[in-house]
Amino acid sequence: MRVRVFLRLFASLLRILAVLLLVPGAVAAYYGETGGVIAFAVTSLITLATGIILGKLSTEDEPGLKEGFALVAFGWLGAAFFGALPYVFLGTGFVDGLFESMSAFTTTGSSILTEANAHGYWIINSTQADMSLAHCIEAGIRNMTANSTVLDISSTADKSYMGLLFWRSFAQWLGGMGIILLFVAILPRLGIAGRQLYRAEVPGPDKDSFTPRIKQTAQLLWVVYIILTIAEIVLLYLAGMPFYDSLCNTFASMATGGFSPQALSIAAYKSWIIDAIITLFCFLAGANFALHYKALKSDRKALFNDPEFRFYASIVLAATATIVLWGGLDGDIWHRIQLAVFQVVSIMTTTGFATDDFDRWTAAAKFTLMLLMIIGACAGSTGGAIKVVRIQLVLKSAYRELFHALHPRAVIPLKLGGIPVKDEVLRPSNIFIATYIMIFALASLLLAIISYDDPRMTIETILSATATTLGNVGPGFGMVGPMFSFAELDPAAKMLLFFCMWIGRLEIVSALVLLLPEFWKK
Amino acid sequence: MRILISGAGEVGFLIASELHMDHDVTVIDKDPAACARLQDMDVKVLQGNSANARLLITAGIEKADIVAAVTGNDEVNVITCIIASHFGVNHTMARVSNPEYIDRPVQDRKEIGISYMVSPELVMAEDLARSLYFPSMLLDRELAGGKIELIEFKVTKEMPLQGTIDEIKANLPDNCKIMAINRMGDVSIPSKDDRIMFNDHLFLLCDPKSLPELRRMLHEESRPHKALIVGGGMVGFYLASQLEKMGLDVKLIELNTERCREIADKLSSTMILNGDGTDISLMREEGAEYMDVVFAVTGLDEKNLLCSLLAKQLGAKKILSRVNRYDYIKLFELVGVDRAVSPGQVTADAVLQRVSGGEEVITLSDERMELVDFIAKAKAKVIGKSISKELPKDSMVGMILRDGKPMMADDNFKVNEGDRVFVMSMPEVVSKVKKLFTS
Repeated sequence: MRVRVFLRLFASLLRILAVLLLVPGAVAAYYGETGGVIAFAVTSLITLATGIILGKLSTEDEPGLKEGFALVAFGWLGAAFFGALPYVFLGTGFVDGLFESMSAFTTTGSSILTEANAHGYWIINSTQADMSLAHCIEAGIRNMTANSTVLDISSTADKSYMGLLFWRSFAQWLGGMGIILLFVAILPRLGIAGRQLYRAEVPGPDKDSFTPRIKQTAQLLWVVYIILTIAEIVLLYLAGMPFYDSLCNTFASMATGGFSPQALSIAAYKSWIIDAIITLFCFLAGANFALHYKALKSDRKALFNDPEFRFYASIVLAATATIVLWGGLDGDIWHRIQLAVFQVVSIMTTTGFATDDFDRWTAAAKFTLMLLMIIGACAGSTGGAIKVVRIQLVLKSAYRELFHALHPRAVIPLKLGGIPVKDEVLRPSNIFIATYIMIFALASLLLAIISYDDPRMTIETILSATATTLGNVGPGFGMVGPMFSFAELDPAAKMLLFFCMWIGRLEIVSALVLLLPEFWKK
Repeated sequence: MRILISGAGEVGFLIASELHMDHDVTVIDKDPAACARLQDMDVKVLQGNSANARLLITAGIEKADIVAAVTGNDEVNVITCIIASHFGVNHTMARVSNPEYIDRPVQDRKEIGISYMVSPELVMAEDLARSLYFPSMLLDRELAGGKIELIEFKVTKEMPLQGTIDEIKANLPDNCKIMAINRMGDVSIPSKDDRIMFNDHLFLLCDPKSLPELRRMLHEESRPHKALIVGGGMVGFYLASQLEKMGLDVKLIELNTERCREIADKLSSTMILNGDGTDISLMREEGAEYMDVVFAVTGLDEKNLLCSLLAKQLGAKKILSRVNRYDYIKLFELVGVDRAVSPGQVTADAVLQRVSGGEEVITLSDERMELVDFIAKAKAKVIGKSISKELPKDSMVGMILRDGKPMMADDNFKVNEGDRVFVMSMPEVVSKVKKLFTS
C-alpha cells in the first residue's frame, strides 16, 4: 500500500467529517448547551487540523485497490475515533467514548450510557461529567465572564446533552448509508477508486451498480435515503413525537441503528402509531435500496418481485408468529402481535430498538431473536449481519448438494429468482458465512476469557453480546439486555466488541484484508 | 412459378424434388458433389456462392417468384434473401439456425426483406413437442392454418380398433378419417376391408374439435408427464423449454459439460444430466424405463438409434428419434423407433407449406406418401364430380375445407369451386391426382 496516496483520501474524509461535526454543535447551541458547543467546536477543529496536516503529507497519485481498502478500513476507524472525542470531552471514559462512537457509526446502537434526566433523555454520568474537559473549559469561561455583560453564559439547572444525543443519531444516519459512499457521492474525480470503494463498503454479495458511473449510483442511493428519511420525520412528527425526537429516531431507524435519545427507547412514547411507523421504516431500511430506487423511479412492483425481499418478508412473518405463539408475551393477541412485529423487525433489520424488555421473554422467543441477529437484513440495505440473500444462497447450495447425492450426474445451476447465480458470487458468499460464524465463535471465546471473573457474564450474555455487535444490532440478552447497557463490561471487552462492530459493518473482508502481510507491501 | 433454391443439401434437395415437376426450379450450391446429386431432376443447377449478386442474376433472380435459401450457412442465406428482395422477389425464405438470429421455429422478418426465417432445429423441436396430446400420439401437425390436423398414433391393445376399416369408421368421432397405415415402416392407404393390427401407426385427418373425443374413444385420457431428452443441442434445448411450458417433468442428457451449464442456466425445471445417452447405468439410474416419452435428438444418427433402442429395451413407452440422414427414416422405424424425424424433412415441409400462391400446398412430404392440399379452381377437371370415384387407386380424399369449415367426403361428395381438398396419395400416383385439379 502506498501510504501517502491513502493519506490524500483519508485527509479529505476527515475534512468532510470536520464539517459534519458542526451540525451537532449547532444543535447544542440551539439548546444552550455550552459544554456541548465547546466539545464539538474543539473536535471539529482537531479533525480539520489533522485533515490539513495529513493532506500536506500526501501525494496526488491515482489510488488503487489497496488504497481503497485502506480508506474503507481506516476511514471507519478514523470516523469512530474523531467521532468519539465529543463524548470524551463531555465526560465519558476514552474506551467508552470509542465504543459509543463506533456503535453509532456502524449503526449498532449498543450504548454505555446509564443515566437519564427528568425528561427521560440520556445523560452522561454526572460525577464523570463534572470532571470533563468541556465542562472545565465551560466553568473557566464562566468564571472569566462572570462580571461581563457582553458574554452571558447561563448554566442550565437540568443537565442535558441534546447536542451529543443528536450526534449519536446523526452518526448512525451517516454510517447507515455508508460514510465512504457519502465520500464517493461528494468527492469529484475519484475515478476508478470510487468503484472499488463502493464495492468494499456496500454490503451484500452482488455489488453491481445500477448506473454507468459509480458516483451517480452513490448519489442516487443517498437521494433515496434522504427521501425516506424526510418521510419518516414528517410522519413521526405528525404522530405526536417531539420534533427533536423525530429527527433522532428517524436517523436511528433509517440507518437501522437503534439509538434513541430516550432512555426507554421507543417504549417512552407509548403510542402504537409511532411503533407502527418505526416498524415500517425499519422494515424498508432493511430492504435493498437499489430496489427502493427502482420502485420510486419506475417499477412499482420491484420490491415484491425480488426473491430476497420475499424471503426477508417471510422470515419476518415466521419469526413474528413464533414469538406470538410461544414467546410468553403478556396481553391480548393484538398487543402481542404489536410487540412481536416491532421486536422482530427491529432485531432482524439490526436496528435494536425495544418496546418491551424482551430479555424476559421465553427461550423460544429469545432464540428466534438471536437467529435474526445472525441473519440480519437484505443486501444493499442499511442493516448488518450475514444478510438474507447469503442465507438464501447457502440454503440453495445445501439443497443442491443433497440433490446431487441422488443424481450424481445432474448439472444444477443455482438460481435466484430465475437468474443463475455465478460461481464467483456464490463461493465468496458461502465462505463469508463460514468466516462470520468462525469470527463469532472466536470473539465469544475471547470475551468469555476476558470476563472470566464476572459471574454475570453467562453464556447467553456472551453469545448475544458478540452476535449483537458483529451484526450491528444493539441490545443482547442478560447483562447486555435491552434494559441494561454495555457500561459495566471490562474495558478490554469493550475494545473487543468495538472491533466486532467494525468487522461486522465492513463485512469482514474490507477489515481483515489489513491483516495480510501482502497488503502492506508496496 | 420460378423458384430459386440456394443450397442442395438435404433440405434443398427435398424441396427441389417436390417442386421440379410442376415448376421451373433453379438450384445454386457451391459444392460440386451436391450439384451432381440433382442431375436426375429437371432443374437448372449452378455451382457457386448464392450471396454473390452476379451469380443470382445469372440464375434469373429478377424473374424469380420464390427464393428459398437453405444452405447450411445462416449468413449466406440471409444475404441471399436480402439481395433477392432488392430484386423484387416477394417470397423469400431463409434457413437460419443460430439462436442469436432466431428464437421461434418460423419467424417473419419482412423489415429486412425476408418473408420467413425458418430454423430446422426449432421446427423439429416444435414438431416433436406437439406429439404429446395423448400417450401414443406420434405426430400432430396443423394444416390450413389450424383448421385441420394431421395426427399419427401407435395402436395399442387397449384401443377399440378391432374389425375392418369400415366397421371402425362408425366408432370414430365426426370429422375424423383414417388416411394411412404405417406397418413396420411400410405405408399404405387402407381399403375398406383392411384390418388394423397392434403396433400399426395410423394417420388420421381430423377436425381439431373432435380430438378430445378421439382421445376418449382410444382410452388415452392421460397426458404424458415424464420425458427424457437425449442431446442438449438446439433441438434438445428448445424441446425441453417447450415441454417445461407444457408442465412435463423433463430430464435432459448431454455429453458436453460446458453445454450442460449453458442450457441449465437457461432452463428452469428441466434436470440436466451430464453424461452419455448410451450409458446403460445412467439411463437406469435416471429411470428411463418409467418414461412416457424419450426423444433422441443428438446430432449423430448412430447415437440416436442406439439411445432409442436402449430406452425401448428398458421399457420407455414411446420413442421419438431425430435422424439426420432422411434415408434412414424407414430403417429407424423398422427396428422399433416409434417415429423418426429428419430436420431436413420437417424444414422442407415448413418451407413447402409456405410456398403459397400456387394451386396446391404440399403438407407432408415423405418418400412413402404425400399429403397434398389442393384448391379446386374454376376449370379443374374434378369440379362437379364425386371425388372418391375420380381419384386413382392408392390415393384417398381426406377432408375438405368449404368456406373455412372442415367436412368429410363421403362416396358421393362433389367438389365445388374454391374447395380446399386434402388428398393422401402414394408417390407413384401423385401426378395423376394433380391432373384432376388442373384444367
